[in-house]
Amino acid sequence: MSSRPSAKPAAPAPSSKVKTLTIDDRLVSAREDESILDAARDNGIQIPTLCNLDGLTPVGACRLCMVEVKGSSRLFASCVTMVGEGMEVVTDSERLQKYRKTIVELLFSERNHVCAVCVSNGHCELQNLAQLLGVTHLTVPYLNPKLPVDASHERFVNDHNRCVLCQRCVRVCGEVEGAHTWDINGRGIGARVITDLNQPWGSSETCTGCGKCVQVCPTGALTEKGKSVREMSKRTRFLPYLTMMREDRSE
Amino acid sequence: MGKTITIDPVTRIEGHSKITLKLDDAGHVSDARFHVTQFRGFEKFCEGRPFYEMPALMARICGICPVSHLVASAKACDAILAVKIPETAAMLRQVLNLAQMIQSHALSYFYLSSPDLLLGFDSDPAKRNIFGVLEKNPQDARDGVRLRRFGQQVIETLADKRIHPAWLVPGGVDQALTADKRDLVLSWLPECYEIVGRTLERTKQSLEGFREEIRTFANFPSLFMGLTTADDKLEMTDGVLRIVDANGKVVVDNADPSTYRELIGEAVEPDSYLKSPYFKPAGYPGGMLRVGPLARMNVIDGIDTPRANEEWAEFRSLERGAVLSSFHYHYARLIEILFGLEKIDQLLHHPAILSKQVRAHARPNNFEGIGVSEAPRGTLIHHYRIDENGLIEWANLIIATGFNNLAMNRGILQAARHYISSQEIHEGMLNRVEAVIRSFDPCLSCSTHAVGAMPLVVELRDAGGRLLDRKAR
Amino acid sequence: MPCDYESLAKLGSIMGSGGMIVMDETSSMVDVAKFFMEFCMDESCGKCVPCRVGTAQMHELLRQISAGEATARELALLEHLCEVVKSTSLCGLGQSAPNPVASTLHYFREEYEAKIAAGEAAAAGHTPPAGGAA
Repeated sequence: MSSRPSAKPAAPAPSSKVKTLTIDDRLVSAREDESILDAARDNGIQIPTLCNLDGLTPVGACRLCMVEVKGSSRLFASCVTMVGEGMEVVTDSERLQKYRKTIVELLFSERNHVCAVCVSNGHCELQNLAQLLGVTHLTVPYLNPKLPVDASHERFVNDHNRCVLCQRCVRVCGEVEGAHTWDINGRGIGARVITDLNQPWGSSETCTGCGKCVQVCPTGALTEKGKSVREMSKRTRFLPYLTMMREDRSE
Repeated sequence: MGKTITIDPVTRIEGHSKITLKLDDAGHVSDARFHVTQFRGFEKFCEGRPFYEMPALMARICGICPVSHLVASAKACDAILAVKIPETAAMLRQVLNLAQMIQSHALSYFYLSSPDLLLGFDSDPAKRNIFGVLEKNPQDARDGVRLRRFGQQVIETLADKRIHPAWLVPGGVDQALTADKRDLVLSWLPECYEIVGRTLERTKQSLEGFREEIRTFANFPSLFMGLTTADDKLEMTDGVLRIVDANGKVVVDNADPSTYRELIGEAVEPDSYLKSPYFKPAGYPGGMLRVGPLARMNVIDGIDTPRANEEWAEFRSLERGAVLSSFHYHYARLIEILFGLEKIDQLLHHPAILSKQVRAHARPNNFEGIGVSEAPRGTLIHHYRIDENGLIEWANLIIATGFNNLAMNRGILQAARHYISSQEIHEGMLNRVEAVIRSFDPCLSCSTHAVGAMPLVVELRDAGGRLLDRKAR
Repeated sequence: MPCDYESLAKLGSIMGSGGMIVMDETSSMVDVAKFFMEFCMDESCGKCVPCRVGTAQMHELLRQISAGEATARELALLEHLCEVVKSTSLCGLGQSAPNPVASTLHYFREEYEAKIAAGEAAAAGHTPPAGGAA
């Protein structure tokens, strides 16, 4: 896992070049160090994402932001693909919609996401994606894994049943808070987020208790203790300001 | 040769069940059993979940009375937090619980039972449903819809959602009431008073015509249990437990609901997923209890709202001791609807009802919490134990319908013996046996069924289990 | 057959370990695909969703097909997942994980269909489980 101190590439140098490309048949221009995702958003074109969060290093893990680029049969994760001169990008083809829907279904099937009784019901990015992409039921079978709830921390809870392994907690803790309490243990379908060397969160020596991981978690996996069903809403807007202010001071 | 009649499923009730009637060689009913054929498992799968998720999780037990589970569960969580919730929160929970009781009673009385009561137990089964009532007694059908709508709208107005609202939380409620919402609810009351007034009058006048049913619908001595206020008045949400016997004599008074284990034992029968709780000191099955509207009318010394109190006094004059016929559950339900309307009226006029102080915050301070309230169908108990991190280790729920299990079983035996005396089966006889169950208004699940969508199948089998005859409705 | 990159690619294989395996006609090609899928599932690092969850789901579907528990619906789902995992996975492992399924389906589809026929027959013989409340 990356432990780069700064989440974003440094502020644009005045000399940075501008590229011209088309996104969904619209002619747009973007700095050469901008990702297709950022360029699209700057121009009001929304591409669905889950692992991506403004203020954290993009990792291209969820694969929801895949786009087509004319001239290539491959798809590209727009959060980690930089713009190029003359690129022709398609963000919302029928094929992409189909794939995105399946990826969201795979996420729902992987763990035990029961929206109706979830503390994040109504404020959940996974739920929003399901609504956006029209995932009303699953075609893939539920895997129904038996997963623990770590409620050992005084103020927060980690419910593995609702984790999508987006690694936002890992990144915000390492890149912004600088504690690197969170990491991933295991591999493949057995991967889990852990605190320290897989110790209960409540006994973590590195955790500062800042709660940034809880705020950036897209689902009800990391939540504040005592929040009832539907009550847990997250604040993620603090992050870009925090990184921006730090970059200003380091100059 | 002995025979078994199976009524599967029982219609116009909440949930899935069947009845088996055993006939001896002479064609007399020798045994009757009520089987609840569905299994839910809530007590098991809540294990390991954070306790503060319980109210919303447990509310999913039922789509008819989610609020009842919310109330009992939130109260159990209050006990874990060891808080006394703010006065306004307690009043708001009461309003919600009463609204729930009104909509559920309206559903039971008008949608499920009025076809029997208005059209007759022997009327054409194809039309013996709410649509038949709508055709023949349009005013009554409309009244039922309006009254149920009132209850649901109060729930939606207060808690933002009609079914499975998340407004009730450990420590209180999560949002204060506004003046607009209060005034809106108050504006609906006059119509509801009229509806319940005329329905009560008609019901009382009709009792004469149901003398045989009153005599045979689970009409026998039993104990009755319900919550009361400290001064022994009708209470749905808080209060203390009281148990009276068939003579109306008080057996247990002012019992702290959290001591329920001293009073209640739970037996399990091999042929049903419904447990059979009983009054522990009297043993099993002698400690047969009844709960719900009839029991509540029997345990109290009065009602602290004027119109309902008058109706209650008249109701209790039906018999010298406790009112024993379960047919009178219907009548008792209407009195409770009237009480619910008057009490909501009172509570919403309380000067503190709009206070913003509606939630007590605390961390868990007890490892165990017990919450008891009155659901429409009777006393409801939620009991949780948590670990040091606040995760549920163990849960026990006693549902109102469970308390009535023993009485329902005995009630169908009584009715079957009376109505079924030959090997010939008439639909109307079987409907009466089902109607005994309906009078208890058992809520066997979270499921609601479309009217008329459920088939009634009656099977006639010989003692060896061979199918002799099968009739489907 | 010449053993070079181009010739193997034409056949849907790759140059590398396990690129060419000799089997006799008694080997079940569904089980062969399942074997490779299990390898990919174990080797998946878990970072990207299609590879992490997709390989586990495909492995389960292959298990069901192999055991004669699957119907045409499961086979169609398997083919769909092959396409999604191949097209959206982050690295070569996920992108090539569906290859053994795709190539066995291409050359030995009748083996899959025989298993599906058994599954359909079993499903038709069963009454669906009694419907409880949702």
